[in-house]
Amino acid sequence: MSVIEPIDRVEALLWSTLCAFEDLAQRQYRAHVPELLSDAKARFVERVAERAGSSAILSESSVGGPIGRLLARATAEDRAATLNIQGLMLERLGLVIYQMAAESDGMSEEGRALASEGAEACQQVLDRVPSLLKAEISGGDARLSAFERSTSAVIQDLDALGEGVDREFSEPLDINYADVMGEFAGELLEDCVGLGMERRRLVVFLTGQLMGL
Amino acid sequence: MTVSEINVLPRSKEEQYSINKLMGLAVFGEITAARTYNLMAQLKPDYTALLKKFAKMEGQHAAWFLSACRKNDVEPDRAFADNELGYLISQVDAHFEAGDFDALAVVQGFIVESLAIATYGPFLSIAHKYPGTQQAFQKALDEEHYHVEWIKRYFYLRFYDCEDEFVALTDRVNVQGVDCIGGTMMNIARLLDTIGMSGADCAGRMMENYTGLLRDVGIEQKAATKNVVRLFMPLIRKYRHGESTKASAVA
Repeated sequence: MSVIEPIDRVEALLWSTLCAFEDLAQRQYRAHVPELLSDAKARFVERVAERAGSSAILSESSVGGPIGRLLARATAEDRAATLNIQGLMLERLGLVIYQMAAESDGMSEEGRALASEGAEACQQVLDRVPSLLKAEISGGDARLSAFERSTSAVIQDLDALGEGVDREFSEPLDINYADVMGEFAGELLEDCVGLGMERRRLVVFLTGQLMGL
Repeated sequence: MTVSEINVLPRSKEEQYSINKLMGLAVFGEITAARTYNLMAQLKPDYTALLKKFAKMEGQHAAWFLSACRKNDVEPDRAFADNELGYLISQVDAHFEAGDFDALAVVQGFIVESLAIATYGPFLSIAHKYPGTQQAFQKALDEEHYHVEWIKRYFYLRFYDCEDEFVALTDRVNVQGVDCIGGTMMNIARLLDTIGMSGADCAGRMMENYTGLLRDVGIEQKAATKNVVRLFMPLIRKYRHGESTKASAVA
């Protein structure tokens, strides 16, 4: 194991958060979509776990509770739901956060490099998801209905992260909830439209979920 | 048709409360739009006649809506409308004093019209509950589209081959403009639900309409979407947490 330089609390919290997401992704893919497991991602997750250190920092932070609830909600029971929640949505969210971290002046040099690797690993998964989803569910309308069913509760729970994300990461890392969600929603919309889903219905769905309606 | 010939359907106290506020916003919003187009007409002599025509059309919308209110026992809530429109009027005045026609065109032609189109269209599906409103809202909707088409064409020609300048303009105007008008959208979402429309549907339509307008003028689709979502997120969060989106509280 390589020697890890001590990192500051905020960066450790970010890695601990991302580690929790990656851990769920690995478990979900192993259970339902083994095609999305890759050695490269597995190695990356190990490195993130090393970097994060103890998970206590997450559980003791203001984002710990909301993330725990979100991840519980994001635990899917079947292949289609896993592809939608994990493969399509949370990988995109992860990619956005890794990209922001990779560009953050508040991150250490090692942290920025690791974040770049994370972004690359997410992108590799995202590249494989469309063909798997198309094979699993035929037709844009059917895919959109499945996406709505699977992701509704998870999207609703994203709101609970807002306050904690802004409190913990906005000032030191310049990562804030509105920017993350803007980037995330913009990319997710294009991903979904690329899968034949109707844009206006998607926008209305996402808006409604974020509004808690 | 006279008042006595119209059968006003019985409505709940909540629906009456909501429709009074929504029609107040529609009536006084149209009057505000007429004022804005008149101010714009003063800044661009080449377009004075056309913009005065737009202003007159907006004024007519207000008159039609007011007439429909009278026929339906709806009392447009002026205090509510003033509360919502005050922030907009102060922005419009500041842009006018600065001689900033393009900023006024973004605020009125894109942002305000996006709100109007996002609500008037879905209203048509429940207009049968309010006799006489179908024709008024359909005509108003058609004319708002006409205004937007002109504004789009103006921006397209004005910023052809220099989209970066248009991006800079929208960046400058959007933050306050969307905070104001998007804030109103959030503040009326529950009222829309109460009268049988969907606040989420209208909010989504407004975001999508505005994104489409930015795209039509030359901003790349994904960038436009991200920009609009980023601006709406703080408003959506305030809505979700039951907070007013503007400095002054909404009753």
